Amino acid sequence: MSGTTVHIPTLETDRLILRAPALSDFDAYAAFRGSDRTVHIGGPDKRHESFDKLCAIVGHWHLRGYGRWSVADKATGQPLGIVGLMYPDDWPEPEIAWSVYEPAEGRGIALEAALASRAYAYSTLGWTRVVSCVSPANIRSAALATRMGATLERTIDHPEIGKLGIYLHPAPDSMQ
Amino acid sequence: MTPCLAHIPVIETANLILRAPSARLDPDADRPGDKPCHVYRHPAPGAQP
Repeated sequence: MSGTTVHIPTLETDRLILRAPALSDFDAYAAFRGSDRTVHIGGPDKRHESFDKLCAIVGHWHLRGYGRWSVADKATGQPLGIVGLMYPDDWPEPEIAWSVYEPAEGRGIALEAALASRAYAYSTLGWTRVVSCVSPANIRSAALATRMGATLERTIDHPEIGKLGIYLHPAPDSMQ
Repeated sequence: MTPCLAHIPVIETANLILRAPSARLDPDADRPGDKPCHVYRHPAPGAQP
């Protein structure tokens, strides 16, 4: 029988595995999406809404050819967050996005995974431009974007989320 | 570590193709929301309809 095969690559960093989201990630993801930690990214969500969103993360790989990974601790396998590349229909352009769960907070997990995602975008996908979209109230994510060398290029008004700062990452040729 | 390969099969009927959704071809799917719904159980594979 013919069909469509969706390929989701696996990346490794010093401490992390970036892999395809799995059903076994759902409890941690739903706990995160249901918490106040998502106030800057459209949450909190009900559990069934979180399931839709986890499915959408997987489906994005099929529809766009790239997407976000589930970030897991290399040593324990514990899911630590969702990080990677995304371009929803209502987004200004493709971005590097990151969310880490509470146990991963303050350990540099988002930075490590976001750097791996950016390297994948530049070296594997051949992108020459990528941004991160951050709510101005999300101070920690704005700081992470800045730490990655991204600079605030412009601010847009998203019809659902409100103001979003568009942080432009350094181009690949400037990082040689 | 091996990558994930998710396979979405294609099924053909007399008039239809059931295939993977496509960003280019498909409109947004309807969402049922939170309304109550009845649960209909289908006959088991070996049962007569």
